[in-house]
Amino acid sequence: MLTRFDIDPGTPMAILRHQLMSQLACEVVVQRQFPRQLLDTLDWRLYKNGYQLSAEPQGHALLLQLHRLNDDVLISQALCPQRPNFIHDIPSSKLHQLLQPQIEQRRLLTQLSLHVDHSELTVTNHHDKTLARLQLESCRITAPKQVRQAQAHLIFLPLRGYPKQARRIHALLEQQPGLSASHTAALTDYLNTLRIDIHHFDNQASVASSPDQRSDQALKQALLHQLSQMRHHHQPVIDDIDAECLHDYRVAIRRSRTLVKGLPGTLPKSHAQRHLRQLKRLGELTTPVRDIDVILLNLDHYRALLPHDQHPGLAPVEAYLQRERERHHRQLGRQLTSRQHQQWISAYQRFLSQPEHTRTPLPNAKQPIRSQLSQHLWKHYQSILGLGAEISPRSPDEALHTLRKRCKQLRYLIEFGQHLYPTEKIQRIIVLLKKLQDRLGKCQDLHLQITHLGQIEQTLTQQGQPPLATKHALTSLVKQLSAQQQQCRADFLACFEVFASARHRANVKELFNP
Amino acid sequence: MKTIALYNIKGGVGKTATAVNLAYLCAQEGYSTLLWDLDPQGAASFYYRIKSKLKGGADRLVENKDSLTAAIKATDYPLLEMIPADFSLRNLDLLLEGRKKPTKRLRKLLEPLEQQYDYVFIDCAPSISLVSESVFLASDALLIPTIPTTLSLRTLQQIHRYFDDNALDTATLLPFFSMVDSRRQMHRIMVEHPPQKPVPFLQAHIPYLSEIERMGTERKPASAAGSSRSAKAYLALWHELKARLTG
Repeated sequence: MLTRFDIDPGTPMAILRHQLMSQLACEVVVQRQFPRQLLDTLDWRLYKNGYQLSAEPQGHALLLQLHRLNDDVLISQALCPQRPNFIHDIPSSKLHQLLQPQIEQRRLLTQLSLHVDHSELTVTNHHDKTLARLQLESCRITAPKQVRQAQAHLIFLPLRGYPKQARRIHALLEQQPGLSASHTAALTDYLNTLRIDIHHFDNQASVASSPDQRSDQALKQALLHQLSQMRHHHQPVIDDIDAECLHDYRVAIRRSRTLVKGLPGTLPKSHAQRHLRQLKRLGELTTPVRDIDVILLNLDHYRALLPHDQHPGLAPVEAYLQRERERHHRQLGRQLTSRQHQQWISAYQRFLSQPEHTRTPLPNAKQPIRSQLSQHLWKHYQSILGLGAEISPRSPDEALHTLRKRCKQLRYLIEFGQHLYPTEKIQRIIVLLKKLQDRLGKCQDLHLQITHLGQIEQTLTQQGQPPLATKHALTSLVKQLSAQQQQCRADFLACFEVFASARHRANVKELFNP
Repeated sequence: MKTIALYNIKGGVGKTATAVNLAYLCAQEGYSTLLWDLDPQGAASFYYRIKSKLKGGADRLVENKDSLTAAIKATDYPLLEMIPADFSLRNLDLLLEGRKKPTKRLRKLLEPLEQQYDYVFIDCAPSISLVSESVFLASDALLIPTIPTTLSLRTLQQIHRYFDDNALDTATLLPFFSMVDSRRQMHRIMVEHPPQKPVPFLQAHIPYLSEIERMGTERKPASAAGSSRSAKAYLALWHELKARLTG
C-alpha cells in the first residue's frame, strides 16, 4: 500500500484539508510551522542505508526522529538538548544504539534545512481511538540554498490492526483530486531539486570499463575519479568536518600513488614522477593530523584500560594533543589553500584529461588493461608472500609496516580492476586480503600509538609539564598496548598462514597468472 | 527483547496503571514497545482506547506460534503497540492445560516478536495459576507493585516462596511500592525503611495520586502529561527498571 502522495502545485493545502475532513470524518489535531533539519554524514551514510534523520524543535529541546525512507515508518526517536554533532552528543537511547554503527565517528551535518508547514489529521472511531493519520506538509528548502517553490505531500499512516479502515482511506486518497501517488521519498525529491549527487563521497576505486580497454585510458579514468574524491574532500578537510574526512582524503591520495606506480610504462614518466612527488608530499602533510586523530579517537579505549584513579592523568595528554592538532591543522589548511597547491591540482587535472595518443612510445600504454593488471597483481602477490614468510614473532615493526604497505597497494590495484574478473573469485581474494590487512593494521596502529605516547611523555617532560599521574597513566598504557601488540603479532602470523596456503595461491594464480 | 510482567496475586495494587505508563515512557524514549493485556478485565486496553476483542478469542491466540502478530494493534502513541485483552482470557488456564509444555507456551508465542520489539510489558490478571507460571517463565523481570501494608508484604513472601519451591529465579522479582499515601504513617515508614527480605525493593515508588485515577476518565497514560507528579514517579521507576535490566 503506497503511503505517500504528492500534492499538485495547483491544489492549496487548506482546500485539500477541508476536502479530506469532510470525506473522512477526521479532524485536524496539529497545525504548525517549524524548521526541520535533515541530518546525515558527509557521505550520506544514513540515506544510503535507507533512513532519514530529522531534527525539529520540541519545547526547549530537539526531537530527533529516524524514519525509514521507503515507507516513512518511524523507527525510533529521542529528545536531545541541542543539535548533535557526533554520536556522543545523542543521549544514550535506542536511537543512539541504531545510529552508532552507521555513523561511527562521522559528524552529523545539516544536509538540508526546510521550512515546514505541517498539519496532521486523525481518523478516529467512536471511542476516539486513532485509526489512521494523514500528514500534510508543504516544505520549502532553505539550505543549502533557498528554493522558492515548496514541495507539498501527503503521508498516509495507517495504524496497525485496522486494515479495513486503511483500505477504505487509501482507496479514497487514490481517487482524490489534487493527489498523485509518489514513488520516491521526499528526501530524494529534495536532492533531485538541488542536484546533489550523494555519491561524490563514495570512496571506491573506479574500475576500468572492459578487459581490452587501453591501459593508459583505464588508468587515467581511475585517477580522475580519485582526483575528484580529493577535490570533494578538499574543503571538508580544511573545515575539519571530522577525522574520517581526512582519512578518506588520504585514502584517495594513497590510491592515486598506487595506481600511478603500479602500472609502470603506462603514463609518461616525467609527468608521472612529478605528480607522484606531489601526491607523496600531500600525504606527508596530512600525516601529523591523522596520527593525532588516531590517539584522540582511542582515548576512551585508553580510559577503559586504566583503573579509574588514573583517568585524570590523561587530561594533560588530551589537552596537549588538541593543541598540537590545531597547530598541524592550521598548517595543513595553509598548504591546501596555497596557490602552489591549486596550480598543481589544475595541472594534474589537465594531464589526466588529455586524450590518449594513437601512437605512443610508452611500452604498456596501449596494452589491454586486464592482461597488464594481472601481471602486476601476480608480481605483487608474490612479493607479499616473500615478505610475509620472513616475518617472525621477533621481526622489527618496520617489517610489518612494509608488508602492510605492500598489501594495501595490492588491494588498491585489485579494487581498481575488480570488475574485470569473475566476481565470486575476486571477492574471495579481497576478503582474505582484507583480513590480513586488518591484522597488520592493528599491529601497526599499536606500534604507532606506543611510539607516539612515548614521544608525548618525552615532550611533556621537556616542557616541564607532566604530573606524576600522567606519567603513571602513560607507562601503564604503553605496557598494556605492548601486550596487545604481542597478541596481535600472533594473530597476524596465523592469518598469514591461511593467506599463503597452497589453496589460496592456486585461486590467485588461476585469476592473475593462469 | 526484554519482557517485563506486572504481577501480583492481589488486585487493585496498580499493575495496570504501571504497565500502561511504563510502556508509554519506554516508547517515548524511542524503544519499539509492546503492551500485552493478559487480564480479561481489559483495563489496559480500555486506557489505550482499544477494544477488548481478539479475533478467535484466547483459543486462537495460543493456537500457533505466529498468532500474536495478527492480534497486534497500534496505540495512538508512536512506537507503542498492544495485544488487547479479551474476556475469553478468563479461560486461558484451561487452554494452556490442554497443550504440551503449557508453562512454556507464552514464551514460545513471544519468540517471533523478538526482532520487532525492544520491550514487552505484560499486564497480568491477579491470580496464581498456570497462566502466571507461564508468565514467570516468559519474563526477564517481574515487577510487583506492592501497597506498603503488612498483608501486601505477606503476599510478596508467598510469591517469593513459590519461586523458591519451583526453582524459579528469584532475582527476577522486582517489588516496588505502589499507591503510597504519604499521609499514612505505615506507608511512610515502609517506604523510608523498605524491607530487604525476601527481596529488596526498588528505590522508586509510585504515590497515590488522583491524576493516576483520572486515567480511567481521560483514557490515556498519566505520563502523557509531561512534568506531572505521576509522570516523574513513573519515569524514575522506568529508569531504575531499565538500569536493572541492562546491567
